[in-house]
Amino acid sequence: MTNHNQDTKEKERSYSPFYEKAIPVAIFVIVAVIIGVLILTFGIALGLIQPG
Amino acid sequence: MDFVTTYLPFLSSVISFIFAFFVLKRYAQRRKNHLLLWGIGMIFYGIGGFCEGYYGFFGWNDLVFRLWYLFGAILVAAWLGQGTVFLLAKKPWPTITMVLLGLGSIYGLFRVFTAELDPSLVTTSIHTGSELSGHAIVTSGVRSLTPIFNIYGTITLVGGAAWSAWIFFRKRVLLHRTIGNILIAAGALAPAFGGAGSRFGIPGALYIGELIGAILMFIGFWRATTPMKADQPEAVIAAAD
Repeated sequence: MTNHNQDTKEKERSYSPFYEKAIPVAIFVIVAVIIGVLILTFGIALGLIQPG
Repeated sequence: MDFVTTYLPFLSSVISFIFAFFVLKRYAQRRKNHLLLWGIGMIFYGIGGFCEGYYGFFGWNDLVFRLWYLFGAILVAAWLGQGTVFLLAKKPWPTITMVLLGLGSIYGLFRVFTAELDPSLVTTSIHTGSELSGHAIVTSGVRSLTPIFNIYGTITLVGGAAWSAWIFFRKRVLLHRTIGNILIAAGALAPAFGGAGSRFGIPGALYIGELIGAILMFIGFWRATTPMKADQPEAVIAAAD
């Protein structure tokens, strides 16, 4: 019962509409950039990508 | 001599040292390992910026180059990331990785300070020579240390901040920490972006990336440690700290 109430409370909580939309987008972009930077780093280190 | 290669890195350096002061002040109050490591990491960041500014103003100096390469190119991201490991990872991982990072840092120190340098190699087909570059290191194997440390640092620092932001977002708590962590992640990525741009010969990319990174991480840290009006109960804040 307590857990159910806590779950309900968590579901009811929300940020303002702007943050509700902006935060997941920002996190997605950051994760995509990390992956991109890592691919680039590995690519350069392994000689698969040639700078310049 | 231009603004980007002289004043800009000095500005990054000053911001980093001020940031380090606030982080270490918080460490003095709370005695949390992650704050100590972030403080040390920001001092490394500041040393890196100072060396870049020194080179822009006064030109080549062996010691300044070695300090820049060790602290600014090899260690900074990894030590900042290690702070995040202490904050987020379960025992015994923080201790194990800290030992490895400590040993790796000593090895890096030895390699950098015994490496043979050729200042003329700072200028390459894609680099004007107005910015510091690891190309000046002649001894093989030294430069290959950099991606190892930086990949570890990027994954732990940026990944950790993004993960924290996601956790807070999913629970819809502590908005200031969600925003702060996103800014920290974005700030930590900025020098990586700059470094990549520099490798592709974009003038000033590294120094601009470092300045943006220092500013964003500073704002992110301030935001994450300063609750907003509509934030959650104190018990949750304590648990997240």
